[in-house]
Amino acid sequence: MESSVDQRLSLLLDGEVTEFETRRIVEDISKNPHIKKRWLEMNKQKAALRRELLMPHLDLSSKIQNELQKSKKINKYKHHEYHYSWGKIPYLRTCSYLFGLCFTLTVLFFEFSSQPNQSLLQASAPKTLVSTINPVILDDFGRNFNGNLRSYRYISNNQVEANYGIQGSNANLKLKFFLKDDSSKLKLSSVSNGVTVNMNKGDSSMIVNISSDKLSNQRLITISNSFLE
Amino acid sequence: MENDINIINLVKKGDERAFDILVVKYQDRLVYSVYKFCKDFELSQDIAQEAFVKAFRNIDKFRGESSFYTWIYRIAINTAKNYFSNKSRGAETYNEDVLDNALSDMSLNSDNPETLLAAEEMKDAVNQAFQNLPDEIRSTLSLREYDGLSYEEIAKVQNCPIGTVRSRIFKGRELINETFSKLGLSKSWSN
Repeated sequence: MESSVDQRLSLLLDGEVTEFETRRIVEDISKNPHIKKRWLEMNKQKAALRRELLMPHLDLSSKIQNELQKSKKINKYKHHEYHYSWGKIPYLRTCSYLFGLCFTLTVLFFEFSSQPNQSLLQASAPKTLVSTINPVILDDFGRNFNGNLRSYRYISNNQVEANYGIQGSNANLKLKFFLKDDSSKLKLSSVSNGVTVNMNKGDSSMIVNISSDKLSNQRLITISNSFLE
Repeated sequence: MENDINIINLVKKGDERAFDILVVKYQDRLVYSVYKFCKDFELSQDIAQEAFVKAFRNIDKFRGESSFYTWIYRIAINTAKNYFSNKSRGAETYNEDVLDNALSDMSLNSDNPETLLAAEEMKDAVNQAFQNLPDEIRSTLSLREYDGLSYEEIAKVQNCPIGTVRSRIFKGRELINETFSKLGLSKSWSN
């Protein structure tokens, strides 16, 4: 039996075995410590015969097997890590992109739907003087009293002030336009002189104060009446 | 040339046990070759070990154009060169001429004389046993071990059946092993 094993090992040593027999011997060596020991001895003997034996006790096989197992574990860990850590990154990135996209679209949607439509705003009268009083209208007002529009300014959305020069004289005339709303009383309290009238301009109800440093009140009333006409 | 193709095919299929067969088969030769130029027991073992691990990982690149030993020898030499390059300590110990002259005799000026003595004792005993073999057996074993001929080639050279070659080689090894047993040298690696 032992002789038969040695014979097979001797053939393996010289590479003179078939593939099938190789598989069998590999199986036997790995399972049977005695056969493994004989395999080691025969190789030591061969190394000694060739004068290549340096360390009689040398056997790297267990160290190498450990090393291979270790690297296998590391590879397995890396593989695991890739799937459960690095592999997560593209997934998380995709989720983030999708979330971001949804969020942006939602914000845009609400912003769009909450943004006022300018044409709609004007048609339904946002009731601001800024949108009602413009230089052309102010110029039209001036024609009622031969006034040339010199300057104007929007004090607020609901308050416009225009200055005119009266043709043929050096008198100036100031018109103050107020949108009529809840704060009208407050606005009127800021008017200390001149003539103040209520009027409608389009859909807007407004208050106009007319004042001048040189024109008489009578003249101012006449002018204000022209507005009402 | 050693014919390890069947074992290597198993290794290529992922059989680590088959690779273990190759390790046992070539470890002494490889460590000896590395030791010849690095002159360091531990280092030569480490380099050989690393070469084997690299060989296993790259076994698919082995195409059988050379023997497995030639292939792993190159891996070991490159590993050693890299080691000396990285450590920048090769100036005194690394000698390419010595490396290339792989057949030059090993120096006995070692820091581990006991090991070397045991190895030398073993080598002498084996070679003495070899010299004591019957002529036919010795010549057949010599063609195999020193000339590296296959059984078929030996059969042609000696003009005998291949079965006779097989039995002569086996008988020669058995006789050498008996000498080992008588001298108790086999205990050296059995313990």
